[in-house]
Amino acid sequence: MQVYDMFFNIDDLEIKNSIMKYKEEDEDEVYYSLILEIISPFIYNYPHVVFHASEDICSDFYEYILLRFKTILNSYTISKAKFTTWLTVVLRNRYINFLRENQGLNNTEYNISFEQDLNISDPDGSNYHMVIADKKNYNLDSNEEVNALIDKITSILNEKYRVLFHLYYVDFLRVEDIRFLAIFFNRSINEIVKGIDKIKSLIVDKYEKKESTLVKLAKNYRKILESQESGDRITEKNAKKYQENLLNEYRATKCHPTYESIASFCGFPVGTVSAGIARIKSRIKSFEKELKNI
Amino acid sequence: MLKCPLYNEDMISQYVEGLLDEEESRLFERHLKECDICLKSVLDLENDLFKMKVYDKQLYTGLYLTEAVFLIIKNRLLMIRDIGRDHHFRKMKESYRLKGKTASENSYYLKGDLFDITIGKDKGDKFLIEFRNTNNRIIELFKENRLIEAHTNSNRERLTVKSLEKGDYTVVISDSTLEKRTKKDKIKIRIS
Repeated sequence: MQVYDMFFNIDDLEIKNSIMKYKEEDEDEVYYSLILEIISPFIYNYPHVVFHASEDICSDFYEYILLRFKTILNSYTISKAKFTTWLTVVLRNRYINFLRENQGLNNTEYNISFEQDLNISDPDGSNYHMVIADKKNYNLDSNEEVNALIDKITSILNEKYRVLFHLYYVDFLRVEDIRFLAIFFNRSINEIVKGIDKIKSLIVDKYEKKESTLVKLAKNYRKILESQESGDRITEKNAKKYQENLLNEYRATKCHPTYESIASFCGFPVGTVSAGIARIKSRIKSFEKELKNI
Repeated sequence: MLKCPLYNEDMISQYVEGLLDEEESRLFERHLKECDICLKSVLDLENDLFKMKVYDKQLYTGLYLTEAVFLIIKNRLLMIRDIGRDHHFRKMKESYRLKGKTASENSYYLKGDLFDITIGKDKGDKFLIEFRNTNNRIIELFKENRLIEAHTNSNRERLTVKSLEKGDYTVVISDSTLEKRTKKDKIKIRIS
């Protein structure tokens, strides 16, 4: 698996030393401040980066963590793993608790717009999965809906096509899919997870572009709302035009792995992968039509 | 939520980073084949780390404007630490009338985007906070996460909150002219 050397310019050795001294010197306040100074941007931005949470939520979550940070630090035992890796596991669990404790919280800044007003999926509806994938990102509650759909689709595919489906729609991978891939290829779970990480790493630029467009869309949407409120028709018109361009850009950016990377992972010829994926898409299209006709 | 008795954040972190030794890795791998909770954690961690790496160029910067630690010692207010990014508390250099007294020795001043704030020494081991330029501002003062003062659209040039006890305070100032109050200044202060 790709281990990222440094996040947010956090030096692992420096933060581990500070934690060690903080503990040795009976929760020393100077070291506590230093640790916070180093780690705060990481904590603050975690909900934004991982769950697309708004700045207000990030702020509230940061305060939520601050109140518990000493307990969190005390539960940490210095080990070989990077502190940020360990903290990421902790932050996810804490974030889920935070959302539970604050039910009704508007989790994302995007759902006010995209869920209701904008259709960010392909206009022709051909890329059914991207729609679901995006919803999955914006709304934690839609996991069951996504799972049911994936189950339905994979039930009409044979094992080889199911492998290609999972690798092509790599962001949907669930625990059962990882186990399926491990059994199919007779590889360890670690090898499967590492392989998937490698596949995704090759399309980092696509993820970056999509995310950047999404951020622009959110900002522009706010501008539209503000211009509507102030009655500034010209700004509203321009912002709506810009929104259309951004939406087209967003739809055009597909975060699918390359056929070459899938072929390399599977040990299949590239032609087999491309033909297989074309066939899967066609099966999904006719499946969608069947669903719509029911 | 269901829990796994073997769930261990450190084990998951080391597994993801490939740091477990052969035997530990084999045992954990065997566990992952059966445990949805731990395997989901591994997948989530891999995903989260990937996103943190990919999206670190598009971060929010609205963290606290500053976090400052003050100490009241021998009738003086001393600043021990200020870990602000762009804004910092400065010791008052010139004589400044704070609460009717010359307060240059005992006060620190910060100019924020939305307001100006002065932290000063009050009677005994108490302190005070003075806000300036508070028009169209909503000012909230929290002590240990509990709201203790709130002012909306104060038209006074100065607003002073006096006789504050030692503790952890958060000051949140937002622009009341914006409906969503997206523009905020936040300051975290600890007085020991």
